Amino acid sequence: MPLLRKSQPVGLRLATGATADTAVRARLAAPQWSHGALAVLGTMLAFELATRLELLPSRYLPPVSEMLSALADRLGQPAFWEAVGQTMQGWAIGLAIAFAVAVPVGIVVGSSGLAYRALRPLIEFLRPIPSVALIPLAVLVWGTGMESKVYLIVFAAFWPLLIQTLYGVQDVDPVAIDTGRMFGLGRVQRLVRIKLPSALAYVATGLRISSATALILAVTCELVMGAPGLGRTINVARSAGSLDVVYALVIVTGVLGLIVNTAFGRIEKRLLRWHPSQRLDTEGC
Amino acid sequence: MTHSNSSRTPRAAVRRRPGWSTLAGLAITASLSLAACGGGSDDGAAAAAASAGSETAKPVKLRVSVVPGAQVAPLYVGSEKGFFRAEGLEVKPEILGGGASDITSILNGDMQFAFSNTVSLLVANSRGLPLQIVTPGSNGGTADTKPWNGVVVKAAGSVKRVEDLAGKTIAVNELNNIGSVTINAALRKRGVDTSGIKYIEVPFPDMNAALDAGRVDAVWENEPFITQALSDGGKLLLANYQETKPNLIPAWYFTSKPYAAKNKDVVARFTRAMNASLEYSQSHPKDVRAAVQKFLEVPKSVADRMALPQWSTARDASTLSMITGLLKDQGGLLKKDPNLDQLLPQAG
Repeated sequence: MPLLRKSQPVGLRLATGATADTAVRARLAAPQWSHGALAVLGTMLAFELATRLELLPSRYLPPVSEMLSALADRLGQPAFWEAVGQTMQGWAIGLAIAFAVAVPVGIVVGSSGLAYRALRPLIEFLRPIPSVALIPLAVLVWGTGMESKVYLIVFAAFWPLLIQTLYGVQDVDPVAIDTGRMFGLGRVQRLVRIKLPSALAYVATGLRISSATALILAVTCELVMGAPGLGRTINVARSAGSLDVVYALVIVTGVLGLIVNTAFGRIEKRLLRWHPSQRLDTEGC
Repeated sequence: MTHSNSSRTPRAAVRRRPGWSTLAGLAITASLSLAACGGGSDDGAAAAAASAGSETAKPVKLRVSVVPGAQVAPLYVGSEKGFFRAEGLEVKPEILGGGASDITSILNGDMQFAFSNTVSLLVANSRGLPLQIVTPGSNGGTADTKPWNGVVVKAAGSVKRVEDLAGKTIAVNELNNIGSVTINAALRKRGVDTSGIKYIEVPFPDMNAALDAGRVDAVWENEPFITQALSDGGKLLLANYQETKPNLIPAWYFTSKPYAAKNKDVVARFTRAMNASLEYSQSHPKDVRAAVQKFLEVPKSVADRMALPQWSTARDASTLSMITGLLKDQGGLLKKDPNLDQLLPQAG
């Protein structure tokens, strides 16, 4: 729930008034993480029981304990860490390129009415294209390696960042702008001192959304094209009938997603301590 | 969503000028396609440069497209044994996913060699694609060898004998490909009417579940899934490769004609190293079992029990001509006759 709420514009979040409420309740109850840990344990236990009792066929869905023991086994293998590295390398390069391109473009397009009007149809056309639909094109042009993976990650991660930056720049408090103008700030100074800091919360949210998208695309490319990484290992294990390994690696991709999201959430909190969007909300994410 | 943003629209409406969007669109499209071309040609140049400096210190790096499965184990075994290094080669097996085509990867130069099945190669050749076989990929074996590929049914199901397959539904990994073509051929040899058989497509890893759930009457599968099926109440009914033709070659390593023409030496060295790997693997099952465990994720318990593929090195054209005949018999799967001399040049 906090995840979802945070990606909404500031105004909306304040308007709901739910934030203060939850914060109070959170302070009264047990430590936050214990709830999450309990839910995870409960889910694992339920799956374990369901497969042990053959409510779910254990031949096709191994018990959680077997997945975890396959996972423990993997953790000691260099090939596993190499695959994790390949996946995260594609993720990092793709996300970095998307960030480096989308944020400046978003600032320019968001600050200029002309650019916004000119590019909006194009953005609205390209944005909904699922990156996965471009796989055949990527394979044809760049082959099945890192280049294709990075290209598809950049394509997918670009849009949330662009849109968030764009709206962040546009959604600056007009009073702040007018105040700046009154104090004699020029166009550039208004951009640097008022618009960008104000847009930062949007960019941070965009980055968090894009970081998850980038990870999804990295694993998808590996699964579907065979680019080296965790996704490809999942495919190979599936072809060998090693379902415990398949699920162990699926768990790893989930954990990576969790780590990435938590990390970006933390960074966001730190950097934007001063920002109105962070002030009321003290619960972790 | 952060979509609605009304504060800005009035200004936008006033200054509205048509034409800009089209222009910007064109500019972006153009720059994208330019970038695309650049990336492609760089790769080609790098590959060419790598193969040019042949016998010197640095080994030639080759990307070889393979399928996930024990059939390609010799490539891994040979790498470990140093057969490729001895020829000044460094092979990197690339296991493609279902969304990428090995033939495309060969034609666009992404890979230098690939492993693909006989039917796919014949169909590609008949469409005029410039491909050239270098050496066999696997061998279907004979009646004396344990089948590593075949049609599996439920032991307690309605299909008891091979004859019962008439009119039934059989799952294959790809329609109109090596599976159904050789199943039909093997059944016809036994006098079974194949006209009523319905083939449906199921990925190999899902075959046993499909059979279990009764969605199909029989499945065509490879090891290790046969071993798994047999331990779960399955029965191997028909070894369609062996029965179609003893020592049938179901798959081959191949390259593109342009690459072969430019890199004759590399192709010859790859062929020698590959043949050494095939021969070694055929006579060293222990190494193969270790390799499928290490590189192809087969669990140890299965790797130790499963029937291993057979391998041979003879560039046996008789399989190609026989499968061509079958493809023509079985309802025009080939639009044009393949040129076998081109696909399998006997001199090279």
